[in-house]
Amino acid sequence: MSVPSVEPGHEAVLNDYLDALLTPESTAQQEPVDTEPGSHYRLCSASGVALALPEDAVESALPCPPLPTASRADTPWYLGPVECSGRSFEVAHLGRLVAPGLSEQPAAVLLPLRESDWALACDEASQMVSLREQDVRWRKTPGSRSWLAGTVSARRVAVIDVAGMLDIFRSEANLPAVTTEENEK
Amino acid sequence: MSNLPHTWAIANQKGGVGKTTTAVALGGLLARQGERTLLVDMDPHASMSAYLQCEAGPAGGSWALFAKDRQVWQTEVCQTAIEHLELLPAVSALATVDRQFGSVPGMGRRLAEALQSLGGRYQRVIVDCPPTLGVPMVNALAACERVVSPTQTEFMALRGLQHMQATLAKISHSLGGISAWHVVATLYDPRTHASTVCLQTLREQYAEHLANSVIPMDTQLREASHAGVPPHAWPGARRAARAYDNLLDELLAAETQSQSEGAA
Ligand SMILES: Nc1ncnc2c1ncn2[C@@H]1O[C@H](COP(=O)(O)OP(=O)(O)OP(=O)(O)O)[C@@H](O)[C@H]1O
Ligand SMILES: [Mg+2]
Repeated sequence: MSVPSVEPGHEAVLNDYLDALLTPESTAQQEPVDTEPGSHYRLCSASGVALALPEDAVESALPCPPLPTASRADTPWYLGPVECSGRSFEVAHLGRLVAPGLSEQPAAVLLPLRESDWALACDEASQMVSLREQDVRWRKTPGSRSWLAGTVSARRVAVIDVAGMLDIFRSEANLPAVTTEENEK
Repeated sequence: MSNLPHTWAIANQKGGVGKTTTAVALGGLLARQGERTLLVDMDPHASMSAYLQCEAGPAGGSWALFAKDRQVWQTEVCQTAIEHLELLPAVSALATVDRQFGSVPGMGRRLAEALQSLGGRYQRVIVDCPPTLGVPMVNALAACERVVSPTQTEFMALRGLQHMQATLAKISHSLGGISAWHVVATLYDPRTHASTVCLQTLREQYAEHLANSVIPMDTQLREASHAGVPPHAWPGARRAARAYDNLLDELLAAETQSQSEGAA
């Protein structure tokens, strides 16, 4: 049997991958959360856009169940109620909300928002960052995108205004206050 | 003395070689001996969870090992139908951990850290791996003291074994430590030329790693898995069960020997 020729490039990539995964987290420089004063944000990505969600606003990160493919033309980001982990969430497709028209990947993670029935479907949400006030260019005048609180140009990340986003959900998805059944019509 | 459970990973970068069957067989035998045993399903296909008829809960079974809350995975462990045998099931979302965490430092150590936090709840942990190298397999290899690689006695399987050996070398390099490696010939059918020649090759090329016990081809193993019963408890699979029994004795003897060498 022929021995496969050694591919140093491939080997190096694999070595780096394993080295990184096996670096003890305490020595890893990856999570500045505990070392820098600032507020904690969960970094997530949706339709290729990097977004930061205030950590207190996010309840958990769940594996995303299969999502409905159909949506209403006027609110393409609203995917309807979805069962996940024994609960029902009103699911908003984060990518379609913040970057309508960009190409999408199937959502992998569901982020339930604290104290609401809403959850955000996104591609990835694994990292935490700590952001100081001065890191963010905060939006001063409210514009059309009321989900946008500001941007971190150093990281090309948009910071999400969760209250503003929930306002959009409530006003545009047209859900009745108590029951969601009528929505089916 | 540490009360860390003895952890064995069942791994081979080749599919369909008997990894899941071996994990269930060894787990079943250990539990029968009264050892509190935890099986961990790290394969997004969740074959072991299906075999033992356990479903993941709200936090997503072994997927929860990668969650922010380090303890939540413990709520996902389920009791199997077999006394002393518990299982941390898998979910398909495990297939996404590479995309999500493949470049996050330390994510390969999550299972090891989880097991360290357990105290003496289990004496044994057996981890069933997917046939591909990725975050779930790396976690299993980083957490275990022994790697068991079932290897089908046919030529394609030898290639898988070479890949496995290369991976183990890289992992030990990254970890700065090495786990013992046992190659186990499976699906052996002495009536076929391919099987006998392949077993001979294994004996020559992997002499110091190859277990003496050879797991024979035994179609009753499939029936046992349909019925959700470990091989030793499936009357039809007596031949394979005996082979697994011998394999377990060998692995336990190797473990005792390493311990006495370590203590010496
Ligand atoms: N010794 C054996 N004799 C006959 N059939 C076997 C034997 N071992 C396993 N099988 C059968 O072969 C199939 C594959 O086995 P198993 O699922 O254990 O392999 P695997 O390596 O875990 O596969 P995968 O890579 O897909 O996870 C199953 O149907 C199983 O019942
Ligand atoms: Mg398997």
